[in-house]
Amino acid sequence: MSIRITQNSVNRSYLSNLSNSQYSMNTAMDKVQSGRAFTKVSENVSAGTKALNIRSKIYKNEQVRDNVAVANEQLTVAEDSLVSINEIVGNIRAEVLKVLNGTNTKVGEEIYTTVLQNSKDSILKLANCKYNDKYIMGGTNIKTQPYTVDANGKFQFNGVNVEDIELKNGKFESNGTSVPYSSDTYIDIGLDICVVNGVVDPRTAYKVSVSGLDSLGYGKSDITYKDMSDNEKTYEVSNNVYDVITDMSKAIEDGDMDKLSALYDHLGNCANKLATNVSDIGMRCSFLDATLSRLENESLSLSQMQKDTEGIDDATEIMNYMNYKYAWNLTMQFGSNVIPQSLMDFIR
Amino acid sequence: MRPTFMGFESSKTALFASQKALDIVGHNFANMSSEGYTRQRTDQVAVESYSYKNRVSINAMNYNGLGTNVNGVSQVRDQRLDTAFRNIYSETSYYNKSNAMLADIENVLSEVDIGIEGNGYGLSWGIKQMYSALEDFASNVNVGGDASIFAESVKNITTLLNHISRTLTDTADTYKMELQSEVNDANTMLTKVADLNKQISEMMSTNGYTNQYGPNELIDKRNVLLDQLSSFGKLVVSNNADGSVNVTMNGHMCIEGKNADKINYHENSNGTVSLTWKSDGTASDTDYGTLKASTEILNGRGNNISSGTETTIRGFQYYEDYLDTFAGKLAEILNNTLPETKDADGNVLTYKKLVGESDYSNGKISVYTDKYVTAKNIAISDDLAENPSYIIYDKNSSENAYMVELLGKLSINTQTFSNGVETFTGTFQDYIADYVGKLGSDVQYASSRYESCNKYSEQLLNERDGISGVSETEETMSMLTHNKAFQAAAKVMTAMDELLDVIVNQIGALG
Repeated sequence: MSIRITQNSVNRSYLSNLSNSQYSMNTAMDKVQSGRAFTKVSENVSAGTKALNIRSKIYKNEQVRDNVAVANEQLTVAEDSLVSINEIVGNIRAEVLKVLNGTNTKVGEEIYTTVLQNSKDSILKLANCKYNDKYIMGGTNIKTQPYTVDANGKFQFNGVNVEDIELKNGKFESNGTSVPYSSDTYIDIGLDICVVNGVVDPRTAYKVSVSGLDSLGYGKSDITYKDMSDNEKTYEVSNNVYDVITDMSKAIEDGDMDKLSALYDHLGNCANKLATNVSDIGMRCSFLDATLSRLENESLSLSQMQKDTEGIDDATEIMNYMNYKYAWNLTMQFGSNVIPQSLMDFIR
Repeated sequence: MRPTFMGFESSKTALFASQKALDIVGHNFANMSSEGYTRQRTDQVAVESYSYKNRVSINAMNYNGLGTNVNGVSQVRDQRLDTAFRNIYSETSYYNKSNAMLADIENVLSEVDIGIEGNGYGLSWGIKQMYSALEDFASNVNVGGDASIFAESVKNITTLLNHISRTLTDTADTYKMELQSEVNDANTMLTKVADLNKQISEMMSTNGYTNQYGPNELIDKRNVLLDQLSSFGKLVVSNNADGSVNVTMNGHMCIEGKNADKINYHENSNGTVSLTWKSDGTASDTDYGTLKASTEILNGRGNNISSGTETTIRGFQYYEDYLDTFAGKLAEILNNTLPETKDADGNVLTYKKLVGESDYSNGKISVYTDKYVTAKNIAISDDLAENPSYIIYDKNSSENAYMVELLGKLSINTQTFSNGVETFTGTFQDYIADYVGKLGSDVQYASSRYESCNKYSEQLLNERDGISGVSETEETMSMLTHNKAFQAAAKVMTAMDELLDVIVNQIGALG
């Protein structure tokens, strides 16, 4: 089938092809210059929506890494304090053992009393340790000193005697009212936080607050011992190491070695609990180290995914651009032949 | 017996015919680039001399050789190609318009450009900066500075929602204005075609034109207008005996001879637009064309249509709904998470209000936290604006369960977004990706359909040019042929003259 070719149709085809060629060239040039495979979702819908998700994962990963690093440092400070307290308690037990085994001179007693008082002061200072100007073992109390000693020498947590504190339904209470600032602080470490009615699911957020109460002891226990007359005595004593040391001091002053011995055993139990808490915090720090490492790896793979989704392969795009440019140049050069010679040019 | 001067007569007809043919060749050359020009040619036929034409029977042989006659100047045009082109052109225009409008919506709701710190300039960035501020604040719930930053981030996202929603509405308004001027253009064209119909039918009846040989220039003008009209809707053109045409657009007879209908543009109270025919009030935007594209997308509410004037295409209204639902959900979460008062058992009685509906009246902007918010009117509440520390629970405490809950709801946990009929379950970020993805697909579809229809319509134009266009080579050949024919006819006339000269002057002359 022969088709009549008119000048208009030739022009139209030429212009259409030229404009397509130019469009391809410009698009390739944009990609090379910006380094991006697309600037609108419509250019590549699946990659576009994927890119949005990856971006969101990247900034969340970054934030969570910061959270984990801060939590790790905070817990490390708490761990150091508790380790020091544990050492002090160990030393005190050694000294008290000397008293139990040694002669009781008045001068010796005064020395031991001073040693015990100094230890108590150290414990108090360590319990009130800070990280970034915040008290970290005071539950959610971060501004005012959480551990104090009242006029009667009783160890207090946020103004409440520690020996009166009990744990009911997972909350600390004293005489029926909840202990102030005794709940927990959480951070997001990328486990899909779930909170219902203000109660955080502990499997989904990470607790960074350290309860000094668990480590240093709270509430009371009964200890029984036989006195010099072989009578059985029961004595209600605090579970808190500070209060126990206070009682020990008094026992030394009173010269009551039987009571001192019972208190020595009780302090041993408290020390075991303290040591358990220290290793628990140690475990938590290790977990955070592992999480940080995992998050850093995830960050690298997310960056790579982002580059694969949104970025271009430089070599391919440059080659494409060169090809389109070459085609465009050819089309332009060819333009002079578009208006072909017709019969008109040949007749005299 | 042969008539004496018959030779002159046949040569004379040849001279006239050649001259006329050359006139038409010149006319074709002159109009080679004229828009819508159809090439013309003289229809030259040999003169007949048959006895059936006369009352008296004649000896045909004496009357052979009467020369040539130009019956008329005809246009070379293929009606099938015209119809095919107009059909595809209305489709091409429809997808062109759809593509342009949807691409504009995509510009307003853009999310994947690099933007600020690689998170774009849109709602994704809004969510991200709110998330970062909230994470910092959740770790330092007593710090006034972090509370300020979070309050600022809430203000940013509400301002962003206002801005995006308003820009979307403004874009829709510009398209409404454009639609109005397109309707005016269409009405003008309808009137012009009707006028041309009148002129053509008058010329046909008074100037001796026939259906085959009509007023070509007027017909060309009318065809150009009909091509342009086909961009507005689907046309069906039928020819009448008097040379006029009847035109049906989108199934409605809009031009009947000299009478043309008009399209009325009307904006309804719910913001939708209606295009109806003036004569009977039926819809004029029912089948392809730019009119349908415009009204579909302006009135488009997707699956969530709530009135008869809306369409099921995902248009401006559909995406406005998305933004409004986003704002509504954001307000629902921000206003129902942080407790303000609790009863003795610790159950929450009232919540702190962080955002509300802003209302400008009496020269003052007030924010109402108990009303239903939309993307256009969501604003930070007065309490939070005046004192960001409003959201601090206790300056001395690091208790942050409620902040963590807020963080979870805004950026991690799935929510249910309900747009009327459609619901979506996912995080805020997933919700954004959902509507951006839908929009991207629609733009991609319209763009690819436009390209394919455009290619086909260009191909039809080339085919049409192949029939109706002027070919320089062909016209040059015609010019040479008719020139030669003219010269040959002149030579024949000279020869006839010489013959007669012999008969008249030389036969019977003595000496």
